Amino acid sequence: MKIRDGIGEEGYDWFTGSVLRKVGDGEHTSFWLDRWVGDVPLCRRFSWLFNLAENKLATVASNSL
Amino acid sequence: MLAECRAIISNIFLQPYVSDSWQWHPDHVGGYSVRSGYAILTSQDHQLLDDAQSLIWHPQVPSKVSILTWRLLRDRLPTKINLHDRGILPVTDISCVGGCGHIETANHLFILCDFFGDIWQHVRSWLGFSGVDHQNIGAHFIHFTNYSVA
Repeated sequence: MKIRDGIGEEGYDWFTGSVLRKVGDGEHTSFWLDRWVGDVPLCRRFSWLFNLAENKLATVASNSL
Repeated sequence: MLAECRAIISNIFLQPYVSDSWQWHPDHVGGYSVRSGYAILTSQDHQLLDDAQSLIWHPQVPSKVSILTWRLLRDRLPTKINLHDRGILPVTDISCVGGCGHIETANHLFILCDFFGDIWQHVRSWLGFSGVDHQNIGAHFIHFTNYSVA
């Protein structure tokens, strides 16, 4: 049994998969790269949108879609 | 896709003056503990490695061979693609050292490469067996070590 099904990609180990970001004001959480909503970072879940994003390092606070 | 993404984040409300923080998913309340990390690791299934384990760490196998095999089966050998992933080699320098033009992964280097992969046929004929190779290193390892008991 995998820790979480569907997540077997390289660079996504058991530890990374067990830590998530708890968002307060969103000033220090990466919108795309941190795992703060859902099971995977948004850059993986919405890779197509991520490719289009102008600022890939945007914070949660600064990113209003 | 955009709508789906919007829907997900529309349920999240930022809290001013509250700092973002890390959270240990298996235990939100108590936070990280060695116990919970241990529980995760021991609940994982490494079936193939378990089968291979007693073969890798066999007392008659020299330790340098055991360690090489262990690293190979975990894909921790410094192949060019692994060195690239760790930021050591540029993407322009990841093709196989054998000069065949393919990307140098462990699987390629040990099995698929026309140059190096040939060795298994030679070893087989030396042992007096015939057969074909697995495309996967773990399966190949189990398969090949079975020759020693056959």
